[in-house]
Amino acid sequence: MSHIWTLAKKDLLQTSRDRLAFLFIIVMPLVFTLFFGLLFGGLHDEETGLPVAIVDHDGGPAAEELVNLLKESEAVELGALPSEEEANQAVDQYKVAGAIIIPAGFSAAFNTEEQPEIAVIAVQGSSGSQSVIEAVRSALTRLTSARLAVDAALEANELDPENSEARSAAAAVVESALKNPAVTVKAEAAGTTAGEIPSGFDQASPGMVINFVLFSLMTAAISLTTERKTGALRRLLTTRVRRTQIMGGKILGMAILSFLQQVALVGVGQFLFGVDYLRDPAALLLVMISLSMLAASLGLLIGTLFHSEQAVIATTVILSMVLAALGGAWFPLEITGSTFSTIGHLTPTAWVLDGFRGIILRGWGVADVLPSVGAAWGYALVFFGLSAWRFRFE
Amino acid sequence: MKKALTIAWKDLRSTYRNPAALAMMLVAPLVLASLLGLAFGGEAGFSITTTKVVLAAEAGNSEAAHFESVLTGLNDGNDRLVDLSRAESEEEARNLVDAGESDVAITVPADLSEVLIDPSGTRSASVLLYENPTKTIGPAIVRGVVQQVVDGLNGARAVAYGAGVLAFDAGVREEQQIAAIASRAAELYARGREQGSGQGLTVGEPRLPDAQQTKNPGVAGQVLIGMMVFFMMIAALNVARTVLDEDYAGTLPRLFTTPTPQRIILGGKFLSVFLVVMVQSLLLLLAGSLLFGTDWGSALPVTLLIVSGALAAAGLGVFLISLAKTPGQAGAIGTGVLLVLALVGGNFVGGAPEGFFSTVRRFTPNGWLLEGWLIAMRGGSPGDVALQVLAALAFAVVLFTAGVLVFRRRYA
Repeated sequence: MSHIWTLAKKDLLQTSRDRLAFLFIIVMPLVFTLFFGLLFGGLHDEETGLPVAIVDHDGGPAAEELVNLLKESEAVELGALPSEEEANQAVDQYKVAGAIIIPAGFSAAFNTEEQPEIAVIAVQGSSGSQSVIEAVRSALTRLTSARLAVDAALEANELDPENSEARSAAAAVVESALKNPAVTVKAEAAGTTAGEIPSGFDQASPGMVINFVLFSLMTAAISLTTERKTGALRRLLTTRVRRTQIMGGKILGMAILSFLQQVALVGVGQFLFGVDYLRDPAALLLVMISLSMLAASLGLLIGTLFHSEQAVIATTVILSMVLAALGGAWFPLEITGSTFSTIGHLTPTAWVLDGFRGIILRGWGVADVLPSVGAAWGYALVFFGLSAWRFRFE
Repeated sequence: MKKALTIAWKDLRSTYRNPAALAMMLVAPLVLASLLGLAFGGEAGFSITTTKVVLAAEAGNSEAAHFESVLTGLNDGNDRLVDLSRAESEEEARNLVDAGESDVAITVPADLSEVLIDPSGTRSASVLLYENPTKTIGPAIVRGVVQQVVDGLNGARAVAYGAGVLAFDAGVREEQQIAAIASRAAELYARGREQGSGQGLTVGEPRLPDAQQTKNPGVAGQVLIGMMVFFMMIAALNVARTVLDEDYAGTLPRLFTTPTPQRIILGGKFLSVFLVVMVQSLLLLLAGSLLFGTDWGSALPVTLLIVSGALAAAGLGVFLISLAKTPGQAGAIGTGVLLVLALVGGNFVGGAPEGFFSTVRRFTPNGWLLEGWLIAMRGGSPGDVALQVLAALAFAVVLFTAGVLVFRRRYA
């Protein structure tokens, strides 16, 4: 056992002296976490909606009411622009998620057959376009509801729609009832305190931990390749250290490195980005150890199969990105459809990510993370088995 | 010039004969684009996994039946958005969400109908949603649908009150008659809402100044272009790194002892960077067209973007390598810088985020290139992409010049 520990310690010491390794292992994941966390909503202390431009060619009461309804929406943050051309340019240059054009004559012909349509300009397929369209649709529905309700009340009483006295009386009651709805919707997220909303960092942080743990395999796999090329591994065989101990030392070193990396990233996530990793420390420890062993066994396999530095780098970059994408580290698998989500769960990364997110968002305990842990260890054993079968010392 | 071309051709051939290099330059972007294209449904845009919803309400609750009907109505055609089940109590429904067997639990209060018809208007009720926080889109859609139903119910209540007041003002005193008028008003309102939904709104793409027709670039195309630009930069870095590799191995100093001027040798090396990336981008564009059916745009804007992109990537690669002293350093620093540039430039988000990030990405050459490519794919003309091409060329000139100055000083 002491040989295994000595070999692992040697590898860790080597890595600790490599300042560039620090860049990949700690700095890069933090930068990515910050970026993606802010992109997906950051911290929910302040209200932030998508930037949306509005051009009001009408200025009448209905247009004004529509603008007020949109301002109440949390999904969008309105900014007025003077012309459609400027709004078009702003969307085209991705300065805003969309632009809303209220045409002239909107108020005058409101809720009639001649009512001109509101135009929304958005880049189809962009991240915010659907949210903008839905926000406008929702505001338009609320705006037309009041008018629709008054018309229906008049028609039910067989009164002339132009009867202004009746219309005013009905409008007063309808508007008061709509402003004080009898039925409301209350939403609560499971595993959170009432009103608590998961932040963008809750989604981004665990994904980036996994992405960069995989990426860091490069360091470990390259060192194995280098030692094989320089003959250091072969020289080790002339000593009393057994082959299994050499492989054990390698995997232990990689696992400890991966674990320390996670400790740093989880710590920053917890104390800087407010991600509640420590909801269940025992479950968290279990998941982290499993991820470490998974990463170490995969690193060993890559170092075993590929004998040149370039091949190791290429394989690690491609594999880490593919596993991260398939596992849901870059985007939630729920937005990818059933097929992709099923394929994603054939990868160990999806299971580990489920474990992390379950702890952070749902307060999962040890028993709840066992499926994630089991999947990670299962893959780790397969990778280790393949490595042991194919490992060559020269 | 002939010697520089010879050196460039030698490096080009050795790069394209290297399996690892081919994997990084061609396989990686195509695999990732295929993957992400599969993830986001190709040209059709986003699709989401089925959301498991459990509805908790007492048997015979007519309002719950209305919610059930609206939710199951979302499953039209081949898209199954919602998988609906029933629970007998709120506790049972919440337990299903806690156990991960459901994504959203909806509890319809038993007294909902009574609250809606209460003449005093003092009673209130809440429809409760209990959501799985690890899911975002599905629960948000369900929440939106439930809110719409509730808005409809509140609207029907408001119109019933309004109709009742008008009836009373008109002298109607019989409760049954007032109730009948209120009920008819509510029906008219519901019908009007149904007919009016979806109307009043048109959605269009932003117009490009010189484009005859604006096209939708599609998800696969946007993802591939992001990956292509990123892996062009990686390829440029790896090819430029051979200068350091040869310096380290001693072959470069040996080349400097030959009659060929240093500037020709280094020029040939840098030319190979440009040529490798040019060939790479042509191959990826061809693969994108054949495999994904991506329409990259008109010939001239595409040509301008390919050339300016290759020059910008080459300039960046040469500059990054000039900062390093060893091949190991070059690989690590270079890859790190490229990852950050790709992140800020929007290569990993299939397009560009809006607002603040759209400004920040313009500090990167890849950000400008992505902007240009998206415009070209939307049908932009050479004039529409002119600014982006010029910006990329400016980056190319500045970075290449800086890199060459450092190399000249190093090998002087």
